[in-house]
Amino acid sequence: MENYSYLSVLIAAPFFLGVLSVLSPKSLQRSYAILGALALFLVSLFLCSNVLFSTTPGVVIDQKISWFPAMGLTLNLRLDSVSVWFVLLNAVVCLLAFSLSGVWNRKFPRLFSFLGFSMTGFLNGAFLCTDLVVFYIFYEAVFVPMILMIGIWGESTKAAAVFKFFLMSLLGSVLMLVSIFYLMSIYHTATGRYSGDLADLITVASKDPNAQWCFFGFFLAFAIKVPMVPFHAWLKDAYTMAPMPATLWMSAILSKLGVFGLIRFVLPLFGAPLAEVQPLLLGLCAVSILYPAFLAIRARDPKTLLSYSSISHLGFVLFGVFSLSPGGVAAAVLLSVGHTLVSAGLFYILHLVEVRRGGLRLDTYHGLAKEYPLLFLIFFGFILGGVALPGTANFVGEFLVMISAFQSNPVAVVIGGLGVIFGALYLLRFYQRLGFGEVTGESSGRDIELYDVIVLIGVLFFVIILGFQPLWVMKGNGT
Amino acid sequence: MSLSLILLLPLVGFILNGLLQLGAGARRNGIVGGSTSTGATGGAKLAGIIGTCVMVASFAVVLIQEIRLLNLPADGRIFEETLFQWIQLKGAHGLSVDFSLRFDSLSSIFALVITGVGTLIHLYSVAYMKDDATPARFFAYLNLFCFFMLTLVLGTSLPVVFLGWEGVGLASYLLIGYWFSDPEKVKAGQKAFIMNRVGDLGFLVAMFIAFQQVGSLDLLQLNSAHWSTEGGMLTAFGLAIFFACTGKSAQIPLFTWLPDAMAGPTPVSALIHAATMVTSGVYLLTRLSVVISSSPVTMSVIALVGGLTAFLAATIACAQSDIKKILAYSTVSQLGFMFLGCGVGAFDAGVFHVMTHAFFKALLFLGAGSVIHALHEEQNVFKMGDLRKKMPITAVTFGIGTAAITGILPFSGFFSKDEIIFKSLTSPSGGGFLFGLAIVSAFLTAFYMTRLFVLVFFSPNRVEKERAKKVHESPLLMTVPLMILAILSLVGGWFGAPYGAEEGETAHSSLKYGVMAVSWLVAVSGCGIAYFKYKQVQTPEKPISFLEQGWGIDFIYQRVFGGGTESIAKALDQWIEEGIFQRALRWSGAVAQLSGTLLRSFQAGSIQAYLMMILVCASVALFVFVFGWGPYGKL
Repeated sequence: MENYSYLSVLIAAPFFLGVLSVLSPKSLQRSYAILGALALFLVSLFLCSNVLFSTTPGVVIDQKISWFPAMGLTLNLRLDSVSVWFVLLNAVVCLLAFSLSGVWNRKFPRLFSFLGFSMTGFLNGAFLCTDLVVFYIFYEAVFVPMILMIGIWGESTKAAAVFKFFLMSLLGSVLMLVSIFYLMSIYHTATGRYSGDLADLITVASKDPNAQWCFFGFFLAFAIKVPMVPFHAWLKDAYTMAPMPATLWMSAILSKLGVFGLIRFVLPLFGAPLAEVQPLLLGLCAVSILYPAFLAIRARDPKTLLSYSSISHLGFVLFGVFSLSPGGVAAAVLLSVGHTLVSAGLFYILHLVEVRRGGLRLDTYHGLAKEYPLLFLIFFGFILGGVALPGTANFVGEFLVMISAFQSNPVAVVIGGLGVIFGALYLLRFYQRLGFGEVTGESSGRDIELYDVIVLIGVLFFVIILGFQPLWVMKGNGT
Repeated sequence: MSLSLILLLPLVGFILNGLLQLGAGARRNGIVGGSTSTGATGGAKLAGIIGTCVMVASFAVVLIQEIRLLNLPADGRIFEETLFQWIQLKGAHGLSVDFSLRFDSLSSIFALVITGVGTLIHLYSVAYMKDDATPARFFAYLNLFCFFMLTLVLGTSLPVVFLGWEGVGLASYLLIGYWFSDPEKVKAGQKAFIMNRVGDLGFLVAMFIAFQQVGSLDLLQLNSAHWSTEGGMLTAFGLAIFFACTGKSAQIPLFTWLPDAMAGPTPVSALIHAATMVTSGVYLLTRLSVVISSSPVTMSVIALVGGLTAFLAATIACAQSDIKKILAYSTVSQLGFMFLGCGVGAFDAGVFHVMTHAFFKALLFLGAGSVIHALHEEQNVFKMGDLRKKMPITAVTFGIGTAAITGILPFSGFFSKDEIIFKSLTSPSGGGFLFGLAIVSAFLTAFYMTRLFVLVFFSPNRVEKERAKKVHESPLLMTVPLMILAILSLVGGWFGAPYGAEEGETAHSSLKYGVMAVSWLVAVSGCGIAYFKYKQVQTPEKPISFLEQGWGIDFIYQRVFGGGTESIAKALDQWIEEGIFQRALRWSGAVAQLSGTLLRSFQAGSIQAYLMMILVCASVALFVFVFGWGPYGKL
């Protein structure tokens, strides 16, 4: 493929925007950040268009930049039919998170947009690099802005949240780093040169007797990031204590970093050990769907409910990944797209509701649909995406991941499928408690601002259009 | 003329009415109170006209297609239309699902009923909902329902059917909880949606099995494919599909949502919870009849569940006092008859009963709506009585509906029900027990329907005084649909089963007349007993509480499943999540100590240190990319 391309712009551009934001006036930060994110999205769309709109499946754009040749470190960037979606979503999520009014009126607005843009840049780096060491650096760097966001703008007991988040991420990452170094060392033993590139390491990983230990290191790191039960303990505090834009970021795109890592690195590197533990992994997926679903049923705080809902649905994504079939992986990408859009939309709407009414509990009915009809109409659209009703991308995704995983472990799929019922239960109840019943509390705020309508309808539009044209996402994958 | 028009027209209606509702909402927000009532009635008319017109047009298209179909040679009466490519799965055995529609004798009957009866109910709703605050929303939902229902019966493959299947569930949810200020109605809607979802899991599993076994999800291919009889997958498929049907069609064990669904407006009960949506289970079983009937176990289960449901619901109906609840349990019972028919292999009789039932049950519900409307939301049959004088049209049409469901001879219900009862005795999966269940249920049907009819229209007037003055016959817009449905309920059975092959009846003809006589006798005696028992009723009867409470099944479900889910959630939250995960994290002992110092740096002013860190990272990255991409970019 082309050796010369502009993929590095995707990584550099957010940092430019971040630095610019520091230079721009404080009072205009929100508009500036939104425009910047929009520009980033358009640039991403333009740079991705070759892969996105290509008629032949499997088009890949590579860019090789030598960094430390002595160490074998290269900045090999690769845009393929999987990473293209994550790069695009990254820009979209950045736009959505910046659109929330939450943090802008509080302290350090410039810092917020700087952190947001740099996180987006790190994420793009992680989505594009095929060199494992460089990937690792980006992967870790992503969490610095996030931890700072929670630490600076988070709610009451944020210190504990930050600590839990940090501790667990660290645990996973360290083991992964050791695994990466191990793989590089056996590559060195075999060939006499250093390389951290995925393509090189694949050649040795399959033959190594200790590959399963490396697999464990990688798996743990990504399973914590998604997070997958039982590695989810950090989630509750981090999601609920974080300011809403940060929660949106975590749920919508940071969780996909784990999914992406599994698809790009773990699947090709560790085919053999994966196949061995596949039934177990699929069983774990089922647990990962049901356990958070029960916690979501119990949750009375809307944000906690959405957080658990988010990881419950990610369990379905992992069904697709661990089906180890090309079709299942393609479906997992589709479902990731759907999940990102829907969970971002739901957190976004929850924020709009909270801005109007303050924090609401789900113990009683609040009757807000009468007061904010348009907002709650759009809200309902996202709820339907959440329950994966046919006609949304999430349905096609869930259906295909389950049908793929069913071939390997039917029992796990049927048990995990119960999540379809519980998901409908807690999401409907969530919506009903906020929207239905008699109106309580004092009327405040307009229905919904035009800007929010445009953004949300735009997102919802893609959820629906991909529900009928899922091939846009899936055609390039699964070969 | 394109097949897709059949379902696109209601979709257009949904969109137009949706926009109308949004416009009305925007206006209401702009104008300050007071003047909204006049706007509402004007909007009601427009919304009703849009809603009804698209249904009339859709019905016309179905008729045209029907004529086109009948002009084809008898063995090739089928045509298809592909709208777009939908789902594709690459891999060892790929899956390709197109969004296609298929029109044949089976789907045409359902399409005719949906659009035909649907049109009448839309028309009726224009008058029924004229004082509603948000009529455009109502008609939008109703149109949306028709769109999904037509997708369900016209779809060529299981995923397309599933789109309709879940879609009608959604529309049903929206319409049951239509008056969403009332938490009880919202809960009823939620119950319907969740119980349907339980069934839908069966549908999903059936699709997984079918894909694994046959590699295709096309309905015709599933029937013609070679299914391995090893490993019981054929039976598992049949049972999974049937489980899905028990949800949508309110059969044991998933029937308890339907009586609660009566919280919705009455036209909704007529259209969705009597005539169309709840019969989609029968449609699906008939569509897959070849696969389903090749597993004797599945067939026996279907027949048994159908028979038991028919009996159980009929006993409950005898003890209800809410007019809509009686009709709801009656619907469950009649659906039981249809499934009994399917289970004993009389799929054509099942479909026949779907059609006649659509006529007379829609008629009965709309009649009930007319009564409720006249009595200003009174639904208790013991607070009615002697209404035939003030509401003659409603009384006569309701009488015809009652006669039809009871199975009195010239009326339509007789023909379809008799066919099922006869098959339940003679077919290989039938037998004495099922026949007994069917006969007893038929007797009970005659009893509770006559009880209802007598209590409402004949027995002494027990209407509360302030309501009694205003009792009136409903407007023409409501009574005309009643009259049309009454005619259909009368003649609907005269021309024989519309679907399925004629069979040689010589072998059993004497037995057939015997069965006919027995069922007729049973129906007449049921009517007679109820007539004399309730003719002179003055005070509300004390019903058998066990029956009134629906055998306590709903209560048990709420305890076991509702309570169970909450208890499991609570246990997981307290013991596993808090007790193990969160505690383990907190107790990461030494590290926690260390963290104290570490965290203070976040809290206090040393954000600069971290900022510095990011800035350094960022500048390195910038440096590498900006400069690296020029001179070294091509390396």
